Amino acid sequence: MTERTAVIAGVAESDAVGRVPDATVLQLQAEAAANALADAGLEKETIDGVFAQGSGLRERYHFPQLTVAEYLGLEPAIASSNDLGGASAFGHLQYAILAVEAGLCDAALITYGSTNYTDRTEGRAQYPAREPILTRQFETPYGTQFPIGAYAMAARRYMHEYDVTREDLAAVAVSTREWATLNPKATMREDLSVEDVLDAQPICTPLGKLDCCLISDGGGAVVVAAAEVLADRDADAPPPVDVAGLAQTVTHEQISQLPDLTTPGAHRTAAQAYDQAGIDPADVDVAELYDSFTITTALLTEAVGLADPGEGTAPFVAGETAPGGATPINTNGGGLSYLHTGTYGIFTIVEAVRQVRGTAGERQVPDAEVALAHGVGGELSAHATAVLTCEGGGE
Amino acid sequence: MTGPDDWGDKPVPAVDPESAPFWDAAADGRLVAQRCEDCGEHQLYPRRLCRHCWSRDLAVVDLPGTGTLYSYTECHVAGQPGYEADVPYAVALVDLDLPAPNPSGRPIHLTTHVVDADPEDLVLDDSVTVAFRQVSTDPEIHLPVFEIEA
Repeated sequence: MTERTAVIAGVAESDAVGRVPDATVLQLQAEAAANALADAGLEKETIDGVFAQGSGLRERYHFPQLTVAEYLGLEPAIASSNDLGGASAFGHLQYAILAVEAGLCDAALITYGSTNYTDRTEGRAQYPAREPILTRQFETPYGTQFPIGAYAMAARRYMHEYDVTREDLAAVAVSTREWATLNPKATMREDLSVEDVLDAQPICTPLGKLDCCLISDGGGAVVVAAAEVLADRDADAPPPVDVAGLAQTVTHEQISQLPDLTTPGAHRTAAQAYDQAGIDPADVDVAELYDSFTITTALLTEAVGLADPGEGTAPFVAGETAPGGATPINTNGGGLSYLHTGTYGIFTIVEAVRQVRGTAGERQVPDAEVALAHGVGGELSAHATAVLTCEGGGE
Repeated sequence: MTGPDDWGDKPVPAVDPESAPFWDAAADGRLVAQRCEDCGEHQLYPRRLCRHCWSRDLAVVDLPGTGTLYSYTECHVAGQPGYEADVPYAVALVDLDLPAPNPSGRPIHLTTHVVDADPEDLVLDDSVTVAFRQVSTDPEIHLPVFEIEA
């Protein structure tokens, strides 16, 4: 069997993201798919793998990969779906690479779409109530807010163990908003202060509304292809992006089953991804770290080695993560200010690809050669870290 | 005094064959866990096998019913149906004291309520003791809740 190398060939969002009340979850995925295929410089006929995830409640549908393949007129050689929550796209990236490199398909389409904002405004809850059955009969009766309550308890424990303050956590939201002002697709682009974050409506203490991600509509797509398939493209097609490292883990489902709320599985996945890529945290030029909540990003910044233990908020407080800083984090404006569709992971991959290609526009990090993307699902439950590089990137 | 009538429409555990011994003990005022007779680890919630070594030789043992407040959050939005009138209310994680030996040192946390305390007064790592709150009469279900030790 010939050795094949799979690369990321194209990425895209749907035509519009954020608040898109006139689009269905399938339309959003179709737009993202077509845009990603155009970005890749490939033809529809090349796609013979489909990895699809959808979370629209308005059009709740089973068999996401069957529905999406049918809707897009694809009859793939491999089709699958997964639910690692916000890390799902990383799972799909992993499986797509495996499928391409094993010769099961030549080019795989990863799609995700959600109408969470519209669902919410039209009165459909973002998450169905977690029934008090099986493992959840020991948690649901106490009224835990999924998933905010879990992250709130992680935040309080982190603050307790390391003398971190709400102001320190708020610095994550402020830094992220600064990036959002540079992203025309970001939903929230007004100036934001630490005081604004502290004064916002409490949701699950110590987290207030502005410690929490947005609730958005949107679609995202990634095309993974065998390097040899890309040889026939137009000369102006964007350079392929290498996945130099990619690792996932699942440590639990319910937050009570994570023994240490300040040490999530990200520590393990980041170490594995760095090891695969043969790099250290110091080599990372830009990081897209899942930001469902300010505490999520603080824990991840520490876990991926961009801050010392207990210092996950320090680079944000010091301004190092903001535009122009030495440790740029969440350059698209993140789930806190750009968009958050319920499971946001695919958008961290999209932004990391744009950064290493050098095509991120006004928010481009100079000389970004190594980008790190990290997805989180559930209640700090599923983690995945990807290290992306691009030969021939840069403007 | 609180009882099932005060629980309103809040969720009640859906007791199943695996969880029944836990809820039966709770109705009897005892907080129990499974102890693996092969490797000595404790686990909660109950499982068909030991999560550490996959042995099926599991005993149900009483826990001391003491522990410390590991973390908590005060929810200003209802996290489950029936909690709308209770906001803001606190949800906590308690780090349970385990009978010796505890070979791996892995803690057992329990999601719970801290009762008879103002959330403003809660301090992490404070000592807590189990109490039980009846939330259903048929079947008879008592949820473990915790009180701050004086």
